[in-house]
Amino acid sequence: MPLQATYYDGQSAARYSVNISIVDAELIVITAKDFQHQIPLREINFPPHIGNTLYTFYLPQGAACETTSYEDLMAMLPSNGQQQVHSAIHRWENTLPLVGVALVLAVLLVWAFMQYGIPMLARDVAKRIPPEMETALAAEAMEILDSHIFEPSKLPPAKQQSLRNKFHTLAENPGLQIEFRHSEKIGANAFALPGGTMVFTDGLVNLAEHENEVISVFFHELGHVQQRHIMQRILENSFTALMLVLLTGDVGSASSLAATMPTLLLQAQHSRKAELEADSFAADALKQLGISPEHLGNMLERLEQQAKHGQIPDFLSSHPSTSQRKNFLKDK
Amino acid sequence: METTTNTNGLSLNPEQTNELPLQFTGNTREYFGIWIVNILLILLTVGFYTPWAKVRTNRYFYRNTLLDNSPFDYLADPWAILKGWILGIVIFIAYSVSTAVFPLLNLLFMLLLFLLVPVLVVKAMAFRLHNTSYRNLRFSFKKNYAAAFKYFVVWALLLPFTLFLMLPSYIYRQKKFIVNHSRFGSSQFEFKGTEVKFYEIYGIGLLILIGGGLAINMIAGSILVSGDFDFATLSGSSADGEPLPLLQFAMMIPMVVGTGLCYLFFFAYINTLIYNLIWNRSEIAGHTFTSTIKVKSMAWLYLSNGLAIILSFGLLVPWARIRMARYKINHLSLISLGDLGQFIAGETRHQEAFGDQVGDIFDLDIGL
Repeated sequence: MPLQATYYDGQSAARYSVNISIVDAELIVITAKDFQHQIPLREINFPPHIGNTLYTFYLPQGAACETTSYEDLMAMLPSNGQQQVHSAIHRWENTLPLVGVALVLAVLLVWAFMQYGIPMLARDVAKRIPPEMETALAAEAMEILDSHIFEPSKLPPAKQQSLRNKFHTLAENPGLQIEFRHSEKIGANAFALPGGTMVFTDGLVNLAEHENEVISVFFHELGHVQQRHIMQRILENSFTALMLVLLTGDVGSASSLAATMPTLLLQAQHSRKAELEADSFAADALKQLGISPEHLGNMLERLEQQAKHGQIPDFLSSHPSTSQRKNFLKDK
Repeated sequence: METTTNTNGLSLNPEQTNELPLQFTGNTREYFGIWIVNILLILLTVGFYTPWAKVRTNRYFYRNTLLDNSPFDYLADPWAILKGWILGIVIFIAYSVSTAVFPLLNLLFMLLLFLLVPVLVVKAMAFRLHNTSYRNLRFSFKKNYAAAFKYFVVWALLLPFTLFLMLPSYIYRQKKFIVNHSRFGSSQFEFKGTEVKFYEIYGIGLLILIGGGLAINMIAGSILVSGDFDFATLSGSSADGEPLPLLQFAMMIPMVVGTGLCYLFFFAYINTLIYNLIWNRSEIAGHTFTSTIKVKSMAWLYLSNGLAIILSFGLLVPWARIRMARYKINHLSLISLGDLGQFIAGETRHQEAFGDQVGDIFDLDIGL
């Protein structure tokens, strides 16, 4: 039974009403009032159906045919592997339960990838990054910090050197570079850059009541360096950004913003994990030297009291709560 | 009944104008299915399905846009897009890694991107239009890199020197460039709007923004004065670093929200009026257009869509997109002066997807 359709010849925008029929399962016959075309089926491009729109298939020489019923057309044609894939996708999109399944699967995949996939990938790539690149990055970062945030340390040079010597004997890391800086705004703090550069602020050194406390912070930062946390975090951020670009590429910036929120929560969680790992590393190293890990706990507590910002809820914070860390260290 | 022949050789009957409204027939239920299956397949293929997803999405929106009962169509070949997409990803990775190691490279990349904007815009428009058809006739974009460089780079550089006062001229030239180089079949679009109109729109928009801003500040100020609050404690933490008292913090929220709404309205005002201006003053082969979208409706759409997307962690994106498309398309009409079947095909040449894809990945806003 012939199917009614609209024919466009591709030379002008004129519409022609036509009838379509299939002959011998290999020829398509298009009949209009003033003309008739016969075209082998294999020369015709049948694109995937989309939604419930009018269906258009494309003929050679730039012509096209449009029909209101995709199903009737498909019923007339011999079955075809490619068509079945297209139909499968189309069916999945249009069946509510399947859409629900797709939604759940998609959410699970995104979560799993952000929770496990990206960190694993980042850890792997971080291990392969040559030390020269890490030191280059650290040097750049140090330059920026020195020009905008830090002033030279006000600690007596003898004290700086003594601490530096002490740290170098405690750890056999060739990339180790100890720096002391002064900053009113930052106060007491210590952090590590990729490659082994560690920065201690005057505030932190002065806050310590016992040399072992500074040593415990040193081991904590060393933990970050050994685990190559810093490079990992940088890579994680890039991979997450890339994934968001892939997912939201054609949807615009509002959805990118929405998608970053769960990422921030997950990143905060990963960061807390990194801190606990560094704490654990420090505790083990301290015990080996016969120093009590409680020194780190005491230092953390004092640092928290010195901090100028208020309490951030635990799940948003990039650091585990100090009480949590103290308890962890006490048990070690 | 007298007929005239216009410059494109089409017969027109001025007394027989026909208003042909565009119709959007898509709905959220259908599109949500398409959108979520797209995302799932993108995830499962580690991103490689993206070109197919994009083609599918565009085909859904284009084919659900009807003019005189015929749909538009999107004809891009996903394989062609894949090449451009891979190139875009490689560039993005190079950018991420190199700027992480050498943050100063960021400047260089941004500069390069800026200089390449004319190329990206022209190529993206050419690709998009070449792959758009109506009644099986393709649209096209006449490539003119020199003009694009003039309007997108040179003019952009002039802006800071004139304190952005020439922004309306800049926008006028860009929009005119895009419309005048667009074609349907062998017929050219033409933008007949004036530069003055752009100044009017931006001028009034700015007055609204300033007026709104002043109003908010005055309201906030009067509340502060009456409540005997101290500006020092309100504008930051006090000397000993105590956190702001809750009440003072609560006072700041309406001010921030109010200012945000002001900007939103300003943005909606400018976008809506310029969009209407371009459609209402463009014509092709004597046929003209009418666009009747309203500022208030657009502002509300932006606000409600944005909130819905954020609160639903992105799940309401399909709903938001359908809503916006439906509103804009259903308020657009073609005023035809003759049978639309009279348009004839133009010269069609294959276009590469490079500009289109790189533009997508770096989130460039291209087009109307």
